[in-house]
Amino acid sequence: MPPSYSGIKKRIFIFLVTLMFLGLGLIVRLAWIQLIQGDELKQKALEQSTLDILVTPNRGTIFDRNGEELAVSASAGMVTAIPRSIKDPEKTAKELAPLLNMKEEDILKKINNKNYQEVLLKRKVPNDIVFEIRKRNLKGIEISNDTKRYYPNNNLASHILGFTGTDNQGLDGLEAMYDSILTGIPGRISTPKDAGGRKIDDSTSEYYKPEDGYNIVLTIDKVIQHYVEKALDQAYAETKPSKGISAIVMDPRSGEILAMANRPDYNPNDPFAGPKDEWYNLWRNYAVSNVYEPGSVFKSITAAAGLEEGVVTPEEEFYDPGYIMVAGQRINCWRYYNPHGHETFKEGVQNSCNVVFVNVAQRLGKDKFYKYINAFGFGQKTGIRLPGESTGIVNPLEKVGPVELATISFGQGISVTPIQMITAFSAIANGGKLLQPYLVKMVTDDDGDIIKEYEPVLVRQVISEETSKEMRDILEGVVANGTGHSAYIDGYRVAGKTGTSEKYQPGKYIASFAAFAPANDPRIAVLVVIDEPNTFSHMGGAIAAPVVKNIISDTLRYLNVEPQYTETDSEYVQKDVSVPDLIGKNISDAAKLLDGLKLQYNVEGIGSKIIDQIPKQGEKIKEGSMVILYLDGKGVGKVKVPDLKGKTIREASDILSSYGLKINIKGDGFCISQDPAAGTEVEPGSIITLQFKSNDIPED
Amino acid sequence: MIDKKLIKNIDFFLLLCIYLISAIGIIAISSATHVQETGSYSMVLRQVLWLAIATIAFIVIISIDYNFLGSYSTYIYILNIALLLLVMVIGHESKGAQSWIPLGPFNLQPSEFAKVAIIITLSKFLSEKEGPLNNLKDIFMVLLHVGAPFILIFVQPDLGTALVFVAITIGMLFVFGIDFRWILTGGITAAVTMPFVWFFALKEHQKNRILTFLNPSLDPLGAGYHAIQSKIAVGSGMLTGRGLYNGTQTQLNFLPESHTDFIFSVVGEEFGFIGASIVVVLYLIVVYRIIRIAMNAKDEFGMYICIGVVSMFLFQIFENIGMTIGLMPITGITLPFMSYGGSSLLANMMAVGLVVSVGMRRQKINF
Repeated sequence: MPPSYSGIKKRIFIFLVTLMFLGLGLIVRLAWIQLIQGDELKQKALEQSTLDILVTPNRGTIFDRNGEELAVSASAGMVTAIPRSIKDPEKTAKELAPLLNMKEEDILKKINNKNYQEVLLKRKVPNDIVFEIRKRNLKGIEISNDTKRYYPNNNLASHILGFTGTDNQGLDGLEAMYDSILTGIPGRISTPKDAGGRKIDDSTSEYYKPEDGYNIVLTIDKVIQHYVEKALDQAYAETKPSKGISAIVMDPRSGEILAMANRPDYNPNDPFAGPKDEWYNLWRNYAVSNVYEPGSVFKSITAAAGLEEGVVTPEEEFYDPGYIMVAGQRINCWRYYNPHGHETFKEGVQNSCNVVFVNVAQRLGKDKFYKYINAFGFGQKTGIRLPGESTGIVNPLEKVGPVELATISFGQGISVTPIQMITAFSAIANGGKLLQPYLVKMVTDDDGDIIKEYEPVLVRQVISEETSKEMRDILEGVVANGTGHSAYIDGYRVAGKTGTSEKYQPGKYIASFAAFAPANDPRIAVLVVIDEPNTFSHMGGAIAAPVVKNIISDTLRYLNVEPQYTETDSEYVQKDVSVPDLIGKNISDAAKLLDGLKLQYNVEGIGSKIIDQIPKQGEKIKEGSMVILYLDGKGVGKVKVPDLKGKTIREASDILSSYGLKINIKGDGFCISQDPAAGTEVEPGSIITLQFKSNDIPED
Repeated sequence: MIDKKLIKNIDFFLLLCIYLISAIGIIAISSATHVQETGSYSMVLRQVLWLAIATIAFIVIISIDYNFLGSYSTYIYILNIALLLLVMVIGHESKGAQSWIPLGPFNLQPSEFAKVAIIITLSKFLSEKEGPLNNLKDIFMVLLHVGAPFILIFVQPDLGTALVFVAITIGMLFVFGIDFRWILTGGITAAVTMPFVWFFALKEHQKNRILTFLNPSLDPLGAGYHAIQSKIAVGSGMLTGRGLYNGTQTQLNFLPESHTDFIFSVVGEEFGFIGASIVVVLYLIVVYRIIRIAMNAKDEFGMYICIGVVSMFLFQIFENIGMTIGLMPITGITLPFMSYGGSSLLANMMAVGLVVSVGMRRQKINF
């Protein structure tokens, strides 16, 4: 042995010690990972080895007050691909492309992207297509439940309902406002999967059931909404307003909104149909989001305040020289060229005489006048639960001088929203109670059990019952003898106030009319606002009042409000009529039947056979009421499919429904192809599949 | 031939531990190759077959006096380098490294045998010198001796195996005795060359492995994937493991290279802390027994052989297990006796054969 051998042994011993330390190190580290971090790491292992597929809950239905469906969810499919499980991407893409209406190369690109475990191919695929895909049993293609939102009445009440986005999330209207209630809680299917994202065959999946969303029942009455929409369509065509037209029907006794509509509008089934820069304009709910100068309609507020404060009585005499001097400034009455001269206060309201109201406002003084302006809710949101409500513009009190006080008295220099105006007007009508307007009556579950019910909310008592009674009388006079005469309806006592305001751009006007009826016991309050009409007359009494008249007369008859006739027109006494069942009847037979019952009718669509009617069979309405008939198909027998190329979804939908045909929409934008082809003869009620395509709207 | 006395001197306890480790390895391979799912035992059978072949090789090695082998040191060295050069020419490339010579039904990995060869030849070289190592010529000779196979393996590229040569050399020189100054010089040289190695010698994936070792979340789906998945596998075994064939990391292929480099993670996941600790303890016993044989060796050549084998095992065990539990950066290095692979198993059993042979012949026989 060499002399250094003992040194060698010493170093071998160091080796041993090193070995012990390294071994100890490994065991300590193992203990740390497995015993201390074990739980957490095991959780990670479980997480990455299960594939969770979300199960979309059914979105709640939106009903009108009578249980008619306004927005429904239909089950559909969501098609996804697991790229790593697909054996033959080319073949798969080729098979899927026509079914999903996607380009073959787009599908191929998605399913070849192995960076993702799962890629979404298309959502909201209709059930018949889903069935077709399932039948082909393509490996790596998964279909999970999805829901598709349908608005069976298309444009009807679109601004109230709003619409939903690709994930069924509410984007506007009540869909957005009540999103959390309607949505429900998603469920999921948990399946083991391997590192490549492949599902493990014959492994058990765990299913966590989704909780469906609740339904909401609106205060809206589909029939009244329909009357309003019809009236607006007609008025929109006649007055061609540059900025739009809006109407609200409210129950002044409760604050329930019975109908609300605006033009222009959109089809919530396809909110992205038009050009992008028009979307927001179409979606905008004028009735709550826009502000306008109310003009003379506001005089009802001034009058109510004056009467309540006792600064004026209905029979007090005024003299109108055609103008009034305020702080050295001459303020004209609208009829300065032919002054009203001597008139009582009541006549002053009927004449809508500015001089009278300036006087009343001056007697009130700005503090008291502002007290009422605030009490009636101007300058504040009404609290109606719709997105984008405006507050209106009320000048701060300290900025109000004598001239401003004078102009506000006749509704200039103050901006309000239509919903504020109708709410305040309702308070004048209903005995002085300012009520919070509302749209949702209750929330129900799938069994129809009520989860939550909304009651009328009294904001405050603004004027006394007595003042309200005087106002009802005065405003009835406006319709019976004054500027609002075009809203006069035989047999119904209508009270109302006209309004015409000039915008700051000369020559542009806003015409409006607010009314309630019957005047002695108001059941409905109606406001119509026409923004920048392009007609010869821009006066509220001339163009807005007839629209209100149509709405009131249809609605009161529908609501079975007894007409009140004076002795002279008792010969016109109208009887109750029960609406006959017209569905399935020929249009000419139905017309004879309705004529015999002294009912009017209006026809929607083309054809000879009636497929639906409003009001429904058995409902009691007054003679002279309107019945709307929906026709199916064109003539008897087959229908020729129209050419729809180049049409938008909405246009195509309108055209097809007028032919009595059903639409199956694929894609977005403009129609590029149709099946069956134009000119083909088909049975009425057949489904026409249309392919839409657009350059500016990307596929999701 | 071997007489009874020699057989009595065989370290059977060492062998028991090695066969136990191999058995656990085979069970783990069966899990990693999804035998219960596919019903295919081909990988398991191949490994069993290799173990049998390795056992025969072991018996052949212990039948020969290691000093007889030592006398052929030069030829062994030449053969070794020749094989490594051959693999460069006709080698079969797999997973980015040209490390295999195809031989019909199986591939031979010369680098595994090169480790054993270098242990023999370096032991022979050192046993003829007097420690401590203190002259430039000797140091140069050692560097040349080990450097040639190191570089040939490094360029395959197989950094993991190449590093084993460094470990073997350091271990053997440490025992041989080396002047403190040379350690210092070596350290400084290493520090100076480090940036050059980083920028010029290391491949991108190797740099990434080091970076992701320092912070695996840098690239959880790329270079850090192995480290993270392995840690999850071992950790999720907790105390008692998730049960054989029940580890989701192994069974659902989250664990990469589970039958070769990451075989220990399979044990950790399915047999838990208890199983993993048993494996570590078995390895410690193996290494301890070899060190014991080293201390009792009758000559320096035998002792250096044992020290070389210990250095090799210790490095491979610590690096391999360490990388599965986030203690070490990932390198492609097998776990002796457990990882699937015939060349590795055969070479390691030959190494054990040399050690046992040294142990058998510890007594100087007087004729």
